[in-house]
Amino acid sequence: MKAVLRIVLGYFSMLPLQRWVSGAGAAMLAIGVLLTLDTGDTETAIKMTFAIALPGATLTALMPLAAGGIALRFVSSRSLLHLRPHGRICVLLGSTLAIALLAALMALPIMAMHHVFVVGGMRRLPESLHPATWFLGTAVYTVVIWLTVFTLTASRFTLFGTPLLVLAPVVFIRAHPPAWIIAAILSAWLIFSLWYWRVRRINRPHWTSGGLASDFGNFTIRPLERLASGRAGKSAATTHYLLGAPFLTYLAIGAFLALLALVMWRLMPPQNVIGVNPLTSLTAVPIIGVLGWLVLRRARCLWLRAGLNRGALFRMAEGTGLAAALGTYCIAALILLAFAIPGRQQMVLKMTLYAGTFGLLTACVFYFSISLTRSWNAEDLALGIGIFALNIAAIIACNSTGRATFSPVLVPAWIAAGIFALLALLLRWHAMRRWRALDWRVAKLPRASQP
Amino acid sequence: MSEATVSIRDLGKSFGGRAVLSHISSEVRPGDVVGVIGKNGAGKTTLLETVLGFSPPSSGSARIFGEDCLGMSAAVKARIGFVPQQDELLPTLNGRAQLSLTGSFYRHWDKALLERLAREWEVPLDRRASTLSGGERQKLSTLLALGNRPDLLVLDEPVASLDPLARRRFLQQLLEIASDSSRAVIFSSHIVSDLERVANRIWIVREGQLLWDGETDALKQSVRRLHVRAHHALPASLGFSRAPLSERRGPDGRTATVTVRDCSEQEVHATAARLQADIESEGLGLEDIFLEIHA
Repeated sequence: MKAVLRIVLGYFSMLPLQRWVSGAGAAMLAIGVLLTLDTGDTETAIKMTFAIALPGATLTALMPLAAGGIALRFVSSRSLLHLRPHGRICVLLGSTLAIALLAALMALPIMAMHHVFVVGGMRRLPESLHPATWFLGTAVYTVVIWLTVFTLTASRFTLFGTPLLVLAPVVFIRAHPPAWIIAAILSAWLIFSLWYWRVRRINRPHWTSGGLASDFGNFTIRPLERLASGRAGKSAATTHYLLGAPFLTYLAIGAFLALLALVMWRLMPPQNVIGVNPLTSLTAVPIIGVLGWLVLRRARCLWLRAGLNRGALFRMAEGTGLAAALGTYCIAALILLAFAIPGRQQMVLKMTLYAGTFGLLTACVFYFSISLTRSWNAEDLALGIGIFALNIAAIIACNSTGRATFSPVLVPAWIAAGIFALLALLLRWHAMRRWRALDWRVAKLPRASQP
Repeated sequence: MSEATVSIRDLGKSFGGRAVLSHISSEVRPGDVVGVIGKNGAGKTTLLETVLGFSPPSSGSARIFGEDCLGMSAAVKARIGFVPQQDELLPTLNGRAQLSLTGSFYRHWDKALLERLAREWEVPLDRRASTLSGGERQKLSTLLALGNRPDLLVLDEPVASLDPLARRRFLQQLLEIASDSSRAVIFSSHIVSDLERVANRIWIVREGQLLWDGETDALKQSVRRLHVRAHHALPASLGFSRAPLSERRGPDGRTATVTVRDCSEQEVHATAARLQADIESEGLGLEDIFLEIHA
């Protein structure tokens, strides 16, 4: 039992600063719920729930939700678990309890609001605001995210799967999953549990075991092989090495994102077509973030070999990485525009402007990720949250203006474009400043562990 | 006689048709401190990990406290401590959290001992694993294996990242804690002088086979270096009853240095008389024996 509880606690405190974020979220949740229960007024209850309690619950649940699948893989590795008494069963029980706790956290504010409505004998809340819906919805979504991440981190195709994690909630909310889907997903957890209990061996995430990011993985060897065989010049081999793949792969990823966005488009109400661009940007963000982070760390190997100082190396990494980042986003945006513009000629300017605006956001994310020369600290966390908040604000601004057809509504998009452009320049300066004092002993790829 | 802690019967392990271990049989009893030596790729890590059930043997079997290594019960697992060659610490947790998480799996967890050892070994428990040096990670990994006061402690290259001073102190304390008449320790190391100092039994692994399994002192007594000097050219074969482990001839062909195993004094005298040569016998340290075996 002690181990089960310790594992549950681990999900809420495994990342740096997480316990503070979780603590702040829990405090907000508690205050929000108490204020909701304290008021007899349904309107105030709605405000308290959506302004304080629910954001608090989200803050607490966000990191376990996002990182739980990968934590499950980490904690399941051989030397950590194989010789622990009842090791796997404890991890399974702890993970299941953590999922239930996450679901309860998200359902609690709704439950409090529901209580105020029931006690007050007021109007009935819609089905989507029923505590049971939130509990089951969160539990099911957590299972989907955890299982997806757990599966994806076993292979090198992680990057291709990442956008699914962003798109999944939109599909989920839009599609209102019926009971049979919920039952199927919860059954999937049971089946996974049985597999997990019996399988002989579970590896650590792929990139820590000599694969994706390792100094010794194929991503390093292939460019060298191409260089040695004369199939690639020095410049192409360097680009391949820094990006971890040929440049064309990033264009293919962009096309893949466009495909996903087109699927999303089919699910969206027709008037929200404009929202596809920010959504594409949102799905590209994790890929661009990982790309920048890896480019920075791979540059370590070129420091001595390329004979460049830190400033010159920054410019080389920037040129290569930014081209790949913008290439990924632009190819996706161009495909979407090609599908969106026919029949909507009056929206060409708006769509192009929005595409450009979110392209600038992509540049911001890239510069932010290559500025992460050390492990995350409070400054980085604040900056990351700030960029994310700006992104959300811009998405809201774009969506609220997307339905109108006259020119003044373009103003928010121009403002967003200006802000993103300025932010990109500031982040570039910030990244350059960090690179000048870059410590290569710290900025290195994850240690390769035994497969 | 007490029950064997580890019992290995005709153990074999292959990867993709390539035999990494073959026909290994041995027993480890309480009180044994077994040192495992071998060249890189000899199969030491595979042997230790197969014995602990990390991967199934291709042939034969290994039993720990009487249970098959592939189906160990929780009670048996609670009696084992293992330090892998490459630690798998959770990168985002600090040392204290790693100890606490690992300890939560055990009914008996000696927190006081770990706190004391962490202080003495200078392990910074408040720092995240990702920020620790190689040596600190290794020490933390060892602490995780000691908390349950294991009856069987298996260490795969536990001192590779430590400086000589830390290594000596670390090993000494480790063995004080882990080795008494009721416990057994198996550890592999490339640093043969460490093994010689602390191990009372030696396994020499060569090309996946157990070349030597016995007391350290017996090994040292059984292997000798003989310096043969004659006034005439020595014959092509010196005629020892067992093939020498190594043989080096002088440039004039009248001297030879031969390393032999299980060669009695009588046989040395008989050979000297037969060759009409002087033979000087020299005892070898473990490191020299290792080098001669792999020469």
